[in-house]
Amino acid sequence: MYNVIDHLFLFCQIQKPMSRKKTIISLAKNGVGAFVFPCRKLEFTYCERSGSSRGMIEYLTTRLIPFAKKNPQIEIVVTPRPSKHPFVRGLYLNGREKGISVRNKTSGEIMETVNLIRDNTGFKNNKRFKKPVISTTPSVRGIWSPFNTQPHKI
Amino acid sequence: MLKALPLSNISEKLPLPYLPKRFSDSTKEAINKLRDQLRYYAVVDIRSQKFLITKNDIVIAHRLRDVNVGDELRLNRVLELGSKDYTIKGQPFVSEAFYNIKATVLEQPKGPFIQIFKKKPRNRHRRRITHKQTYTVLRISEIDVNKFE
Repeated sequence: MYNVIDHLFLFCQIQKPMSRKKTIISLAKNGVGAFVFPCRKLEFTYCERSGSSRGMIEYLTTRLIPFAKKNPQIEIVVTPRPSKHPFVRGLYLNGREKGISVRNKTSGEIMETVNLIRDNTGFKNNKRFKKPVISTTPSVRGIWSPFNTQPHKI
Repeated sequence: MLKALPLSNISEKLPLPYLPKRFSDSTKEAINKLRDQLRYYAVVDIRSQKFLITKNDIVIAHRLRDVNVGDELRLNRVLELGSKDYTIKGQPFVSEAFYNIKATVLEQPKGPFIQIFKKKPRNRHRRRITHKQTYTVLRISEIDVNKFE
């Protein structure tokens, strides 16, 4: 069967355009129409025996289940990891993850750590907070031009 | 003052404070003129921080303690509400009956790690201060000017 594409590959030189991510559809603005919770999974690891996991074990037995019930949108996984320090890792929608070691922490401190991970979005926080408002809408009143003003009269 | 609606109660309408139900015809005419325009902006006061916002904006405010990620907030301190040709300036605030501005809480992050070293040489004075500023990030989900008939 005669295939147009094969013809083009055989007889013409096709140069692939420089690969660059461009979207034809508009990028989703989380929070405008619908809100998708940015933290999708929390992983807890602990050791049954070691002392650094004492606070973690207390947290898992007392506070984790009410937390999980309050946050049904987050997948929570608990795995024992013998002879290792306890760890809390959060996975986010943008593919990044944030892990914090909770060794030798009390149950209350671990709760604060877990809330910190839950309230984050996974973006790096180095240069994000320089501007108070981040906007993509064009200027509402238009950009000032000397041709649209009335000359100053004395 | 912010009023937060938890996700489960989003369908319930927040009760408005007492407002005069009748506005003069000239007021209604003016607001309808503003409403007929395409895009609006608002100068909004969030815990005494002022922002100039339009729809879909991301606002980075100081940490709001009584708010959770995913909450929908109704902003009720607006100093100025305007469009391309018309503006309403509040004295000091615009009446709540004129607008409906909503924001969603996206996240409550912490800023970069900052270390401040203080030293006075030959005086045995050395201090190390660590700091991570706390923020709340909001997404302005809608700015509407209400219709008056």
